[in-house]
Amino acid sequence: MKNIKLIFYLVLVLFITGCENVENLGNLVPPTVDQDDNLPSVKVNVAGYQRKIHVRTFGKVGNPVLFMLHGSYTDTRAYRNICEGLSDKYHVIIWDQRGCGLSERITEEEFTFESAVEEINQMKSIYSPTNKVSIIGQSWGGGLAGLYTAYHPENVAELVLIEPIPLRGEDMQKIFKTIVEFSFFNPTWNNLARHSQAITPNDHAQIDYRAMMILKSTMTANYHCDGKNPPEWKIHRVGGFLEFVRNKRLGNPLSGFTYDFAKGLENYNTKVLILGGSCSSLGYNMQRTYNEPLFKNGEVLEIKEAGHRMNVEKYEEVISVIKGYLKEY
Amino acid sequence: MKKNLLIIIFLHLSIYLVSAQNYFGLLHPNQNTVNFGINANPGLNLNSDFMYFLPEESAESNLGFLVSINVPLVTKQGLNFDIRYGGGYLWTIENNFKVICGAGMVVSRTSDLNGKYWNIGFKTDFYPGFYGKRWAIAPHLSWDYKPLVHIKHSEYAQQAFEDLYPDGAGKYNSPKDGWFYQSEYNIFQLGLGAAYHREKWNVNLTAGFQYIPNRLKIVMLPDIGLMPFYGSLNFGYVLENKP
Repeated sequence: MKNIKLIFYLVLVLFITGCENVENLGNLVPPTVDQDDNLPSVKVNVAGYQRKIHVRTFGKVGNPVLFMLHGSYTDTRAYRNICEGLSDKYHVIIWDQRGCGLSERITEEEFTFESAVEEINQMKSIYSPTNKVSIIGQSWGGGLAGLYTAYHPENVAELVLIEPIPLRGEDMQKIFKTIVEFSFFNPTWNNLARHSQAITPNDHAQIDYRAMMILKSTMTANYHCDGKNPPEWKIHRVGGFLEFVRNKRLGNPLSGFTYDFAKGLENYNTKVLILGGSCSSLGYNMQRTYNEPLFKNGEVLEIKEAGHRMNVEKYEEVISVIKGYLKEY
Repeated sequence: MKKNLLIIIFLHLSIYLVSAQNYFGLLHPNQNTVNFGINANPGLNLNSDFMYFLPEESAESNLGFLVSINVPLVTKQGLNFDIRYGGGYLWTIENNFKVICGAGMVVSRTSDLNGKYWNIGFKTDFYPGFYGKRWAIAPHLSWDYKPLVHIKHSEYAQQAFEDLYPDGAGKYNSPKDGWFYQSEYNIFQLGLGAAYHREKWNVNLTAGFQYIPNRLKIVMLPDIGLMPFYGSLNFGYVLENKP
């Protein structure tokens, strides 16, 4: 009996010591550029920290520079089609914003709206130090493009916003209920909640892994034409912690959204193209009502039968209207 | 001999522990009880528990063996359940001041968009408080620890590793499947439990705050289902009186 117990405990100890730590690199999510030198990167100095940024470039050096800014709960992967589509006339630069995708993870203090603007300035100093840049931003990236333009109108040659978030917190407060449906009975939310029973959200990799599931959540069904089956949206890594910090900075429907990305936009005189899908809660009607009036010269175009992920579900239409706006075409 | 063997097995199992088990069957000493309830942690679940009292020839028994099953109430993805087994003891400190002490092992199966998981772990529960003739009210403290997980990643999780390297050459091409340890898996709960019990049945409620320690200091991120609360509402019924 004693020997059986001893063997049992010996096998148990060998089994446990033979297991890898779930947090080890590459077990759950891909490595970031600081963890794997095979990934392309540049270094930026923002908010007192030097960080490595995952960057991809498309088109010839020497062409006008165009920045593509990605949204929240995603990285740059799903936008590569737009970048390739514009690479014949532009030198397109797309990067995972600090803390997102394959870029180096950051601390809470490093992310502010001002530091997000500074990050774009740093990228500009690398890729287009003397000339203006064209910017396309989607969702959060559209809001950030608006904020950057408000801060530095002199740096922005052309501006395309694909379903940007409301540029003022007070407007976000008004429409929040139409864009996120929170319910304890939502099956995908329950799956997200149950994930704690399997993998502890102890550190970045586990949070990132978990946050990846939100891209298939039906809580944001109103973003899409078929909310139960959102269009496929490929990513490498969602920066879960960065989203946590970003949510803190933006606010929430209970305490209020207090941000204002529109202050200063009155100094930008160039025409701004805003795209809104016909299905999305952040679509054409929302853009017409809340965002268009904030620009001196804004135009909202509707993409029919498209939701928030219009660049993958209606690529031809989207690239066509963007080319119709950009001066190089 | 047979009784001693049962006790040894029971105590052995009690070294390990579980989640959302209902120990209020101990309010009916020496009577096997079945319990049904709903719980949130914070996802919604249905649970059922069976409490079996070991035969006691002389004194009233306060030691029960518990088997539970817990299944998500609403889920989109595959098979999810927790099977728990362990034991509980109603320890009388003085008169009506008693402590329910519970401990059990859990085997969990979770399925979601990212993969399928098997977990092995344990949980301890304590309810030190007032246990009267009809009413019981006590703070609830618990510790949930699941150090082992087996992961089988889904195609969706694997896709995150595709097209990672511009030249296609790199070390990391897919997430890893297999058994892993997560030594810092802890869930702490602090709440309040209350029960009303009659001879043949009881109704009990436990609710409070739940904290999952993490290095990022995230207490709440509702977007991904992290919320700092838990609760359960249960009905227990006595199946048989032991002689």
